[in-house]
Amino acid sequence: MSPSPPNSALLHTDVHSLYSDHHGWLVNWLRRRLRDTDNAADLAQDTFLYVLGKPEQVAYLREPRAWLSSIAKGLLIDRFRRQKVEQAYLLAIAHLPEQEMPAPEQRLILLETLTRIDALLDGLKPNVRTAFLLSRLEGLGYQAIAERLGVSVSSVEKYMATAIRHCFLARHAL
Amino acid sequence: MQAEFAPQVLDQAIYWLVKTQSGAAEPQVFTACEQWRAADPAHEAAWQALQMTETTLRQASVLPARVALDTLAGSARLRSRRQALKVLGLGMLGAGAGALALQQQPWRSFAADYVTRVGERRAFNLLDGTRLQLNTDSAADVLFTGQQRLVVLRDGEIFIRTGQDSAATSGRRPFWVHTREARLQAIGTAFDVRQESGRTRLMVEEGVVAIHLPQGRPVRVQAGSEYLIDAGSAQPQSASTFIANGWASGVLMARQMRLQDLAQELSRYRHGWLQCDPAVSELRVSGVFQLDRIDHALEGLSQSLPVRIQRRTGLWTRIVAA
Repeated sequence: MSPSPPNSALLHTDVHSLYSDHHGWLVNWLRRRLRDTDNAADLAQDTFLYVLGKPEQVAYLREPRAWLSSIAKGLLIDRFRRQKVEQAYLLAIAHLPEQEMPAPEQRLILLETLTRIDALLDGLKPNVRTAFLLSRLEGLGYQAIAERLGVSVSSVEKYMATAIRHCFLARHAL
Repeated sequence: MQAEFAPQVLDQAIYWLVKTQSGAAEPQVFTACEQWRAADPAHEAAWQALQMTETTLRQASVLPARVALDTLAGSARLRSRRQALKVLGLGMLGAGAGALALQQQPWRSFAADYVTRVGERRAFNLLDGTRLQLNTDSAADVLFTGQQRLVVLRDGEIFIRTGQDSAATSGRRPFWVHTREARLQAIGTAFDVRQESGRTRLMVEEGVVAIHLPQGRPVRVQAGSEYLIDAGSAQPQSASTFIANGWASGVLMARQMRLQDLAQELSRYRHGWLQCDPAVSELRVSGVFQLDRIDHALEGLSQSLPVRIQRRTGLWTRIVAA
C-alpha cells in the first residue's frame, strides 16, 4: 500500500516505460531458460498482465528486472502446478463409467479448485496429505484412516492437526 | 499477514477441529466445542479462519470423491521433487547473480566439489541415483568408492534423497554423511543436514538415519524427527519454529518464529547485513517466505507487524519498531 496513491496518468507512464524498457529483455531471459520461444513470449505477456494489476508497486520499483523475473518465475511455477493437476485429473477420470464423468464444461472450474487445494497442501508429508484428504474428501473417520495407513488413531489426529495448521499458514503466507 | 488471535487460541481451535471431525465424536465433544467458540470472540475468529480451508475442500465435493482424491494424490506424485527443482532452478541465475559478488570463503570454491554462493540453491543427480541438493552458501564433497558412498558437508546445508545404487556390483553400498561433529549413516532415506557453528542439525524426512558419535552407541533417528548434534551428544528437538527442508522447495516456513531468528535465517540467503532491533526481536511470525523474494518478504513484515524496514545503501538492512 502506498501512502498517497500516485495519479493514474503517472501510473500509465510507469507501466508503459517498464514495458518498453524491459519487455524484450524479459522475453530473452525466459527464452534462454525455457528454450522455447512461444512459451517465453506467452509468459512475458502474462507477466506484464500481472504487473498491470500492481500499479502501486511499479511506481516505486528499484530493480525492475529482478522483480519481473521473479513474477515470471512465480507464474511458471503456477502453470507447472496446474499442468500436473490437470494430468492427474485426466488419469483419475480415465476409467470412470460414462455417467459419472464430470461434464466437460465443469472441467475448468474443477481444475481451478483442485489446483487451489493442491497448492494449499503443498509441502505436507505424503501420509499427512493422504490422511487429510481421506477425512475431508471421502469422509472417513480416524479409525478407518488409521487402518488404511497402518498407523495409530493418535497418529491420525496428529496428521490432522499438522494439515490444518499447514493450510492455515499457507493461506496467511506473506 | 497476522491473524488477530493469539497462537494458543489457534492451537485450541485446531484441537477442537481435530476432535469434532474424528467421525466418532460423542455429542459432548460438540457441545464442549460450541462452548469454547462462544467463550471469547477470538475463539470464534480462529475457528472461522480454519473454516476457510474446509470451505475450499468442500468445493471439491461436487466431484466423485475418488476423482478428487486420485487427482490430488496423483498431482503430488507427478510433481516430483526433481521436476519442481527444475522449475525452481531458474531462480539460481535470476536472484542470486544480480547481487554483490562477495565471496565469503573463496577457498571453498577451489576445495569442494559442490558449491553454492549466497542466495544460490543447486541440485545434482549423483551416479548412484542419489539426489543431492545444496542450500545457499554451502559446500560438499562427494567421495564414492567401491565399498561406500560418502558425502562430506564442509559448510552450509544439504538435502539428500539416497539412490538405489543399482549399478553397484557388490550390492548397495552404505551411504554416509560426515559433518564436523558427526558421522551419519543413511538407511534408504531423505534427510536434511545443516552445519551450524559448533553443531550439526539433522532432520529426517523419510526412512532412518543413524547418528554415530565418537562415544557410545549409534542413535537411530526416525522420519519426522529432528536432532541437534554437538561434539559429544545428540539431542532430539521437539518445538522447531520452522520447517527445516522448506528451502528445497524455495521457501522458508515459519511457525511462531522469533523475529530475531527469522531475520537470522533469512540473512543466510542474501548478501549484506540483515539485523533485527532488540526492541522487536521477540515478536512472533508465522508465514511462508519465498527465498527468491526476500526483500518482498521483508516489506510484507512491515504490513503485518509493528515494524518497518530501514535500509542504508544496498548492504545494510535493519528491522526496527514502526
